[in-house]
Amino acid sequence: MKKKHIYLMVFILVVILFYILCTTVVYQGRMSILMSFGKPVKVITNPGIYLKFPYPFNSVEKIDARLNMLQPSPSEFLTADKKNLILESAVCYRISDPVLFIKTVRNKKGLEMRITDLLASHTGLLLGVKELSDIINIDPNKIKFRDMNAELTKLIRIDGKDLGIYVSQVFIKRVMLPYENTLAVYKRMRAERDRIAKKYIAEGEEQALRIKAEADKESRTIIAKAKSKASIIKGKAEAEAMRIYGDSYKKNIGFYRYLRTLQAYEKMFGEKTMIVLDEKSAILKALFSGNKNEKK
Amino acid sequence: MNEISNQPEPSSVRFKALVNASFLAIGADIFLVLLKYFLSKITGSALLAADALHSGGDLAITLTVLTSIIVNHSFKKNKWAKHAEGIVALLISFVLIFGSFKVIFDVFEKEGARYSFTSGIPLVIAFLGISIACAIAISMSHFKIKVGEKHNSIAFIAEGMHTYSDFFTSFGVWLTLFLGYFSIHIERVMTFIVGIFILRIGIKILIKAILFFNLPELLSSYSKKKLSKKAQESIKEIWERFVQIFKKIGSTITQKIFFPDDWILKNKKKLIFSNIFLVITLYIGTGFYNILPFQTGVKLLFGEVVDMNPPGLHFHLPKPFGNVIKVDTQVIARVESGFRTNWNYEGAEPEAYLWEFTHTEGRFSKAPEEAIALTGDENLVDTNFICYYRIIDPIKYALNCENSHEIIRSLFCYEIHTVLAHYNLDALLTLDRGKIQRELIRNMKEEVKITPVGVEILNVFMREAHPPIEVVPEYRAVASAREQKNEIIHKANAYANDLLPRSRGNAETDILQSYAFATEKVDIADGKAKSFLLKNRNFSKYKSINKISLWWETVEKAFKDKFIYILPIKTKRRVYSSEKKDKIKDIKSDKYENSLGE
Repeated sequence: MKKKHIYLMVFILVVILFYILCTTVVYQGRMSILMSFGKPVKVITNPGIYLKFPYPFNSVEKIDARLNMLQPSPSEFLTADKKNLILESAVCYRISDPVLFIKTVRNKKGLEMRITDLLASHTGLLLGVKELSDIINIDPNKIKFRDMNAELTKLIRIDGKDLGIYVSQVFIKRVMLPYENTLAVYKRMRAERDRIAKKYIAEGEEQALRIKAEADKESRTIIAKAKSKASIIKGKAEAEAMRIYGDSYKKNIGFYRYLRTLQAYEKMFGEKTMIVLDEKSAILKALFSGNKNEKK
Repeated sequence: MNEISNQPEPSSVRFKALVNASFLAIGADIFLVLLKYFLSKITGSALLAADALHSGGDLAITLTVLTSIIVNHSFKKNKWAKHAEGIVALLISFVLIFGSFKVIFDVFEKEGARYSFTSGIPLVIAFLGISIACAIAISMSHFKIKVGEKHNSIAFIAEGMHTYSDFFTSFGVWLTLFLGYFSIHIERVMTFIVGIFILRIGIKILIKAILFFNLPELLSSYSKKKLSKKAQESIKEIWERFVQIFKKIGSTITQKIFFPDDWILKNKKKLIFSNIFLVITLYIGTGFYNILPFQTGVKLLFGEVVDMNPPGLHFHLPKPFGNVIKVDTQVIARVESGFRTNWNYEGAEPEAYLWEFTHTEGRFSKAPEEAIALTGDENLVDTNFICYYRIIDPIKYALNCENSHEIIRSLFCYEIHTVLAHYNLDALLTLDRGKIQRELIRNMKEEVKITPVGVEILNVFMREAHPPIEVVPEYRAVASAREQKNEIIHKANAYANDLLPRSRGNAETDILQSYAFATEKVDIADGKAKSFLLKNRNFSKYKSINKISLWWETVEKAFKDKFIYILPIKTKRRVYSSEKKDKIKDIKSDKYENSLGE
């Protein structure tokens, strides 16, 4: 190999090493802290390429300054009216002061710990003075949930400043009941449905009874009316019959009485009637003395 | 190639020189093998491991060459000793051929981790290590060939050639690492090439080892019976022909197919420069990129956004100076709350997605922690929502947020739970669905204004809303109860419908019967009256006769078929009641008679 080539290769190697060791690139949405033996010297917030001394004179701590979201595990809280609620919150933030961030929490994990503590404390504080009806209510005007979120954001934002972050929004993304209470709600919902179901059936029976009673009433009215009409008809007919009988019988009451008596005899003696006659009875006399009378 | 003498001159000078050179070479080889092995361990790369094997082959050759030289020098009276060098070369060739197959076939395995470097400190160390290895390999190669030529040792020249190829493989690894630093991965290809190099060396040594043995001479010196001259000549002729054919095959394989040694030696510069040119071209080529119709390219230079690319072919400075981030700006993205869609699902669909469907498997999987929400009337509801959005600011979406999609999902979840908190369950399930969707769209639009994720909300849909699975049977029971209510009412109506016509019929019957009775009554009365009047007319005329006649007719009829007892006068008069015989009543016969008489 000629010397020229060796120089060229060395030059290329030097350039590459220079790029690797003496420059640092800051990407859009990131920040870098330039440190000299562990002491922060400069915070680079704008994207681009920057010069630095090689390690160990200068070292670079790269910080993710993008909008980030923390979602600590849900926690249980008590409302002013002693109702247990499980709240799951989310915190949207970005790192605004990288040096302070590094100093106070070191990394994302440290931040998560701090934010979790802060959230639990502030949420407990805010929820402790609210009733369940301030969070869930059929009347939207009585709900103070959004105000609570705004207040929470304000509080966490103030605390976040000390950790080198800007909190853009804190929101309680879920409000849930503990497991036992959930079961109780299911139980109540079941009872409520049962009540509605029973109400439907009872309403049905109520209507059915009414319909039946009305039908009965109408039926009896119809029959009664018919009976009354029938009685009148019959009465009229009987009256007419009486008139007819009266008109004719009055012409000879004695004869009528005689005929009626005879009719009565006929009807009175049934098949099994036993007749006991005295020897001297008129019938026997008449029977046996019928000829004598003729002779007379 | 140098002419290889089959009978090296044994001299103490040559022996010393060769042994010294061998020890130097062994030291260098051990260092190279250990270095490459160490580098392959820290990077976990198969390429470096293959390269270590290549150097290991080099070491083996040197060791065996040393052995053969010692054997040749110290046991020269032994018949076998002078063939030791050939036997050793043969053994080495087998080891190398086997090793090359292993490397070549391993390249085709599916596990890719061994063929990609992880950038970082290990890569830098490997880079520096391989640079040193290259330098050592090339100097050792020159040294060995020179020594071999000087002392006329076939083994040493072969070793030098092998070391030269070792330099080339090391250089290949160096290039691969260099490209790997710029995210251009040719590890697999390079490993394959190194494998081919090992194979090539193996075959070359194998052929040379075979040719090393002079068969006719061997036959004549080892056969007990002396062969005839004719036979010896014919054997020699056959062997020479065989040697010629074999040399031809050997030269075809090693000189023409696999990077001929002469050609490599002649075109060293060209090779190096063409390699460098190829690498540079490849490197610059990585700067070209394609933006698809639904994408927008965010072009970065040293981490700074310099341009936004519409669909088409574009160029940026290759990594690590420039970069591009492709964002799907035209695609309508969707965020799901309460469930997740498994887009790759190809199994069977259920007949219908009923309320009690648990979604533990299938196209949709449930996310119960998002799905169950509290309603305004303190009930629980199971809901699935979808939010459609489009990226309007790719920089905000891709560069200023860590995970915009998840932030949107969380905001969506928050809005859903907040909005549902002021609706009552029954209205939520039925009447207010549209209202809820409109409210959610409005609120989500506000939310993405407050939290800059670079998207625009297009629509929100309530995909499903039903009571939680635990209370679904009771909800169904309500529907059943409603039906039961109707059933009861229908039955009552049926009763009424049955009763009233019957009653009307009965009433009509009563009235008609009464009319019949009246007619009958009047007619009978009329008849009777008329009959009386007719009888009366004639009765008055013959009163006494008629009286007797009628009286007796009646008596006949009345007394007919009756038991009549006539009591004698002196008998005590008693009347026995037919029913109660113990009660006796006296009756005055006169009275009785009188009543009859009248």
